[in-house]
Amino acid sequence: MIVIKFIIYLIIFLFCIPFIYLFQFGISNLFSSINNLFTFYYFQLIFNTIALVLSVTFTTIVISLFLSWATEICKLKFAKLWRILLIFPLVIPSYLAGYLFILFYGTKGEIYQLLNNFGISVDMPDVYGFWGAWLCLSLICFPYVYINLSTGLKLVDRKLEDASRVLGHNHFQTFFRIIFPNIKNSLFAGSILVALYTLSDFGAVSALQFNTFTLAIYTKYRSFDFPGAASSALILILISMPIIFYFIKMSVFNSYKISQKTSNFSNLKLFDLKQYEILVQLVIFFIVLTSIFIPFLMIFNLILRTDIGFVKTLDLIKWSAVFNTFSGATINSILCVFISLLLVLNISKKNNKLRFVFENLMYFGYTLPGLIIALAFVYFSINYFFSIYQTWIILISGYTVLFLSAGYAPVRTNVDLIGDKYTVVSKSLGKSFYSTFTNILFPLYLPGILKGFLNVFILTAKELPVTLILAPLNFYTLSTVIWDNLEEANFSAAGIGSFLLILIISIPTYLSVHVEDIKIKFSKTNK
Amino acid sequence: MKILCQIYKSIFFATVLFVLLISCSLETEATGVINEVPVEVVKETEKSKGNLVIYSGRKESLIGPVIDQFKSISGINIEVKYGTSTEIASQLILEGSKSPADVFYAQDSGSLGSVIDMLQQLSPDLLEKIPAWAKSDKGKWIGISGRARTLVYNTDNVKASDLPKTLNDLCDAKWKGRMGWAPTNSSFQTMITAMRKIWGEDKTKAWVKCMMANDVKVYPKNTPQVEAAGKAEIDIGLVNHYYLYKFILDAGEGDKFKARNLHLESGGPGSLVTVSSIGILSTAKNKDNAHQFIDFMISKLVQNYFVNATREYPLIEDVDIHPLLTPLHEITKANISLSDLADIQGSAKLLQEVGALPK
Repeated sequence: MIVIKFIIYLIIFLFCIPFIYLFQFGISNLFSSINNLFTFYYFQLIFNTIALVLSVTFTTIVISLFLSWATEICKLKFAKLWRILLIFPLVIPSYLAGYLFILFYGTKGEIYQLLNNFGISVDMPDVYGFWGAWLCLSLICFPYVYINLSTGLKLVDRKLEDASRVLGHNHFQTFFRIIFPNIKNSLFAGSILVALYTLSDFGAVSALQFNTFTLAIYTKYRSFDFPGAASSALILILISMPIIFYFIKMSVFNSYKISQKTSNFSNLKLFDLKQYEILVQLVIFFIVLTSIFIPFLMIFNLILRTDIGFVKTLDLIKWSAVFNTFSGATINSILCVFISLLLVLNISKKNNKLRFVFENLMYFGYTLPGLIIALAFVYFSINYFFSIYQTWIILISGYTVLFLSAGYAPVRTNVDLIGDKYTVVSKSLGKSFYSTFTNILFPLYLPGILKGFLNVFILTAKELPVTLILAPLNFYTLSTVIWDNLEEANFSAAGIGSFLLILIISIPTYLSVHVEDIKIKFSKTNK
Repeated sequence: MKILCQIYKSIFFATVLFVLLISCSLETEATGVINEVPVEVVKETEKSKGNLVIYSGRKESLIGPVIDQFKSISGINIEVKYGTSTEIASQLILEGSKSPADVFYAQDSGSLGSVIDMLQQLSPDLLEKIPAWAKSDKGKWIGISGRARTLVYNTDNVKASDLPKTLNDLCDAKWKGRMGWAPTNSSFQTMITAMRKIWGEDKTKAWVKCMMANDVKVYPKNTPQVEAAGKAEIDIGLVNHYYLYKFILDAGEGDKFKARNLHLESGGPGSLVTVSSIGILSTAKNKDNAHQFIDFMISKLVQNYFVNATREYPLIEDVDIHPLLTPLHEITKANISLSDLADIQGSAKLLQEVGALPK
């Protein structure tokens, strides 16, 4: 027990490092520049940031509610294909997404060229600014909500649905009155990831030139205004505080209201869409088209831009980058899921205050720009822990602080849904905790664990700023390769790097959907 | 049993893929010879073992081949960290005297200027090979390759007679909404620094204001501007000279890529030539190797590589520029020393005050 306690406090300490760094460097500047806060410019910056966060979050919620309803509750052809494909928008790093977005939708982009070829000359709307950033971020972020919602839907006790239908509600009334309150928890868990991703995103807002707080922080670093950047980051924390408090409060609050009965997979009754299926399919196809096919098409467009050929360009990619990306992401996602389980199982019920503090801290790790976290770790390890500087250890610690919340959210949702009755029963039957965990709890937690693993894996594989700063020497990941070649206008190499990144991420994506399906089949046949 | 079987099957496939990836990674390591350059016979210096840690603000795809070449010639074990020049500079400041770095190679002289207290004096034999305008006046860093500030313009939409002559011409109302710039880019900020030195703060501020009044479009960096100028998304962009040639050569024969560079006349800030530059940290553990590396970087071989791979200007004598470029002596270089342009923070502040950069 003492070991576990030690680990928990160690993790909490890791999360405090960025704060210590920020306070040390930013607090004096914060007070000297406090009058800046009341200028029109700052007001606009804060307004921009909040407007973007709210609109992206709202859009992704709407898209994902529809998608999860369609793929999980309705009888739909190709549902498994859609389920896999709909995770893929996450694969595209946001700096690449912003660039591809401009290539396609820009004033002189592919759409314009295409229309021009047909002799139609239209003025494309300006992609730079709010609309571009909003659309681009919504399209790459909605799977966070979708993944969480579909996991949530799997776990809802479907007998409730039967009861509701028997009592005379139609399908949609049932969905919004009965099912929806039960998945609210997952909804909040997913949308907080979107909100905070938007808040901390640099790549897309920088490419599409929409001035948010994070962009301002990076700009300050680039012009060597370190105290200014640190104090802006402190303000960013202040902005994100109400968002995080709200979401956590809502999800904790909701977790007591949800049906504590676990899902019975064999009970799945799919809703028959009848003649409307084609319409639903079309809408899903449109979402897949804009968020996946078009970016992928643009990636191939990049690859083909120079005529040195696919094979020769493939030579340009360092294969160690493929290996590093894969192993870094795997290690970090296993670690994050492990830590999440450890935390949820050990501090969830006993110590609500600790849990509250910890969850808040964790989400701040996700909110802060990667650059700040990375520099905080540089500062910490240079001064106090030189032996781990520029090793895998510090890189993985940085990744963990950044992305633990993305793994934690689905795990916690799942554990909360299952409740602790199985543990109690198992204990009363004289089983040890270990055997309870492996035989009963782990299979029940599996959907959440898989989603958590997947979230963290994808985020880590495409991570850039922390990798650049904390990685060991001579270390490349696909993400650094893509960035490198995009900056140097080696478009085909950048395209191939993206292609490989997508391949790598598709392995766990496929596996997680696949394993879940097996589980459903399994519980059905077992009946 | 069925479920286990399926899971094992998936795990098996994942493992096979993983092993494949690893084997790939073992096969093709250390490619990339400097192949665009007719390789001259390079003297094999005696295999002096040892290490060298390079922090590079220039990308791996660009100088990776140079470093590999140096590795094989010298036998030195080299470790490199790549990143953005300014971010590496801020990392170096945090690292302080404990920094593992020996050499810092940055995209601009401003990044080296920001860590100048951490650099050591370079030896005279390196300094004397580089012209005075392209090195630190304290002898702490030297330029490796030159890059000229230019205007990139769309050849369809801008007639030769319409081309601006100075930066001030851009304030003309006829350019309204047709221009782009990248105010966060460090080369741009260096140009603003030059402006402040040559024109003074007030005139610089007025210029930035009139550019903004002319609805100049903001881009994150140089390459997207060049691309935008080629597609006529903008008609004029304020960039460094060398990105353009990549697009022209990538587009293939003929004039498919419809943008060209314009070097502004007069010794004004618009014709500034900046340099990518390199320095040795005073805390370096491998100073001899660092010296050897810098010497290699300003050798004919590598200077030729830069000419062919990036179309930058070579900084030593006897190396010809790329045929597509305007000779350096025809660009009247801005009448200013690069060491005076270290005050990037002051320029950032000016841009912030006017509202071209976030405060």
